Amino acid sequence: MFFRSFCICLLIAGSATAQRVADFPAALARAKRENLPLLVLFSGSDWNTDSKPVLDVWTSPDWEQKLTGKTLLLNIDRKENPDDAARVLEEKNKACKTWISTHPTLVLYDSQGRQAGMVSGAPGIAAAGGLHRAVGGLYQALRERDDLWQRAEKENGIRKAALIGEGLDRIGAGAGKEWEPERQAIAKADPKDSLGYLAKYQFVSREHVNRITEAKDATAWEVIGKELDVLARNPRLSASQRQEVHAARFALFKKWPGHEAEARRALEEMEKADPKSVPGKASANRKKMLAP
Amino acid sequence: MFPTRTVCLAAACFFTAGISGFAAIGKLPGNDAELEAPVGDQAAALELLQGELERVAGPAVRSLEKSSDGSRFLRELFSSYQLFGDFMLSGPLPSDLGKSLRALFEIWKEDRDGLRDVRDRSTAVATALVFGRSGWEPENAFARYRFYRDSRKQGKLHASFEELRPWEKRFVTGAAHNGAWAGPGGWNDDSLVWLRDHVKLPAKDYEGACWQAPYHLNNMFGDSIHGADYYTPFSGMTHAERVRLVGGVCGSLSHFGANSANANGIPAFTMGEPAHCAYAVRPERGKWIASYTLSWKRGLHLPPELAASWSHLILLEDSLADEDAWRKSAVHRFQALALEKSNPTLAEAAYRASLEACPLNFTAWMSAAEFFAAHSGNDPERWEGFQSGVLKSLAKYPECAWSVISTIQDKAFATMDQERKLGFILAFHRAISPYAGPSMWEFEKALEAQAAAFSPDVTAQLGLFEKIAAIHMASPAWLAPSIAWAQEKFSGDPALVKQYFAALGRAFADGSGAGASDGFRNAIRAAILGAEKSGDMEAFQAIGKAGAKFTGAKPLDDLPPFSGKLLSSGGFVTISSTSTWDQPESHWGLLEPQGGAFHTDADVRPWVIVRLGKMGDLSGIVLHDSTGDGYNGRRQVPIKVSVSENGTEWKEVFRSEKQAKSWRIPLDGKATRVQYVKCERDNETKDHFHLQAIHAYGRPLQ
Repeated sequence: MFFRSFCICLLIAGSATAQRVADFPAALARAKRENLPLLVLFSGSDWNTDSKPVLDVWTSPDWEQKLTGKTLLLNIDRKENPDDAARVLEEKNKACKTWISTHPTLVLYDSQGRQAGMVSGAPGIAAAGGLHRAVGGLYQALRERDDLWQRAEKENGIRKAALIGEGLDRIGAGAGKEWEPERQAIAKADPKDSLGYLAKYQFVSREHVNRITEAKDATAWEVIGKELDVLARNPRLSASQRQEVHAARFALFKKWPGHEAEARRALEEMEKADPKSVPGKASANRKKMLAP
Repeated sequence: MFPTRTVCLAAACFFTAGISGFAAIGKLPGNDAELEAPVGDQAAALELLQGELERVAGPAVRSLEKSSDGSRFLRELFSSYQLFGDFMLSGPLPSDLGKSLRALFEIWKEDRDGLRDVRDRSTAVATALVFGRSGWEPENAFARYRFYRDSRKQGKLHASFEELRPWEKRFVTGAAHNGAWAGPGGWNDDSLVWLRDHVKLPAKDYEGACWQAPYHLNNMFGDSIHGADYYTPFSGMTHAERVRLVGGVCGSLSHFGANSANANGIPAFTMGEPAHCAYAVRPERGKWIASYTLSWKRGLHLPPELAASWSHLILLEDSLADEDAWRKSAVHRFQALALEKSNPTLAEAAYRASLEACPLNFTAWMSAAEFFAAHSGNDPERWEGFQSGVLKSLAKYPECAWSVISTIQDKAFATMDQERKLGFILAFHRAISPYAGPSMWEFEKALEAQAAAFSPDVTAQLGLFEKIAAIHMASPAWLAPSIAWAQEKFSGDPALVKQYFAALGRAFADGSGAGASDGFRNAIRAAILGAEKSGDMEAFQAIGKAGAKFTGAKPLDDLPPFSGKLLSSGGFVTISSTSTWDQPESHWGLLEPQGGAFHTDADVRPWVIVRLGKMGDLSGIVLHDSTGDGYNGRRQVPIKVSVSENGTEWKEVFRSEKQAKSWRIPLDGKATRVQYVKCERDNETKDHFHLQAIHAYGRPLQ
């Protein structure tokens, strides 16, 4: 319901406060100067037909009129046959280091130029309900983050840490070096990490399973096992992180003689964390592959 | 071209008696003037193409004639220069053209009208030619054609696909090895659909598409990719999707990269390298990029008749740059093949016409070589003339030139005395010496074959080597592999080693009257610098190891390592310049635990670039400067260290203004997918630059 109302709010014509910018460095400078979010469309106008429907809307004169709330708009058009002007622009836009796996892709950056949301590819935009809703969803998450952080400014201690963490969760962020200021703020407000947010953002995918494959004796296995137990109890982990922890526990117990039952239980925990997800289904399949 | 021969046989019918139906057409050309008929006359061309099809795939034609559909298909094919011309003249033909014919029939059955559109016709032809490969079933050709036809019509392919010629599309429609890779549920048409819709990039970006899939030796359950359980738990999705989700190692990643390009209509294919899998992408006409590559030793996952090696691929591309000329050349080649038995004189004229039309047509050269080997008799001048023709056309592609010459060498040598053999071999080396060629190749094998054919006596072979080395002395490409070959062949035999040193000493004597060991050292130095200049890692390693025993480098102080493996070991060094104080024989040790040395000339911003022995995620780099606590330590600062995946785009990871005997640079998480490390002095001072160790540690990604 909130999503829908936000979309209406965002997309019905209001004051024209969305503004197009020429290139990424200029956009970033202005976003920082004027404290504005920046929405970037990565497209390929002369080679990628999937970009066309999105570009048709994006380049229409009334696109910025449909967006309310102050924001900056930039189309990074990756042309195959650029003219001189496009080539100059392309050079400037190389300042944008965001990794794009497909085109078209929408990326929303906060006023500090940090990625605050992404919708990848025509299938991703379609799954989000089309361009308008995809954009609406990105802004909604950022707005929720900002609301939470505004509230956090008035709080102290655990409550403050919780609001900052919730804000990061809204935009699926927190792990990269660009979020160090927020992690420091959480560490200051919750020095013992009683909420578990810091452990969540410091979680390194595959780290434990890599160590397990190299560990050779029970002493090493025990150390890793204890670390995984602590992580498994962290309520802040996302479902996929939790599943990865249980998968690592399975890898550990599978290797550790006499722990077969725990290996099986780890798979069950993994499935329970999110049965319909890919790792959830994989854990069920992996269990079937075990000896009865 | 090779000289003509005055053999005159009567013109004969294309086909032997007793063949009925479609085969009973066509007359062979009877004189030089008639050779030109099919070039300008479509009807004559159709007859010629039909004759060639009959010659190489007669049983397949007979088989199709038996059904009414098949007969109708053949009638249409043989009357359409557009379709038949594209089918027969779009690059080298597959080894089983009959299978391709059946594949084209399968497509025609399902989409006869569609083939009238030039864009879909070229897709159909390319698909049919791909299905001539071993293991590709013609019955599946339509499904592959349909994928590209429908994807194009729906605008789901990269726009450049519209412009591709049929021969170019053969590098697209061969995507995913027709599902033959990675077993059932592996790379199949479903994966292509997923990749088409989820990995849409500007063409050149497919060079890095492999990295969309993470490099993981073990899956999240700890199951190794070398076992059967790695992907099994991840069902209900395409293989492409699960490779991106679960990860893989070089094979999965390279297939992801190549197949994502192919699925979007961009030419690409995978390649085997020693203990590694890489891939190649063609972002634009005439330009192939090797991606995730670690070695020039590549086995292309392509049928050999299309491109047996990287050099052959580049030659094919260059030869087809003028497609009209290539087609004309192919037409004359078909004439020559048809005339070989009945009229060798005219066949030779047809080969000449073929190679004059397109001197880079490798297929024509190979056929001509076979013909020549069968018809040239005992006149050594004819053999020399033939080689001269090959070298005139193909010297810039030394590997390809050797491919042709190696087929005639034994027969040629049977007509020659030792002096003439020597001249024949040295002519080859003189011709290729100025050209590095499109890529490195197994030059040592060519030397070995030449030496073996020259004489069974190793002393004579050593004499041959000395003359070859003298030719290549100034050649950065061929000196190093020549010495690497000789080192392997002659230095292990105590009876020969002195002669070997003496030979090198004579070849590389600096005129100062110094002895053979100095000459040998000169040779090693020149060879190492040559290997560095030409990027020949294998020769650098082989000669570097041999040269290490001549170094006066002192053992390094204890340098505590970072975690992981010493990724620099087995790598390769290039420096901005050499100098009087530089000892190239010490370069190899720079990357190894014992240490080594390099010493540039006085330069502004001098540098050393290391290509790691293994690509990897770095945990840290250790640099050693034995002069770090002395006066000359100032030469190294400010020192800047950068890393790179491809050797062109660099990321600075360290800078220091302070002199030091060693710098330890921790890099955990800051230097992923690194193949190159660059150290440089980062100011405008003109001075020398030297280090004794560059050790990079981390987790290998291969």
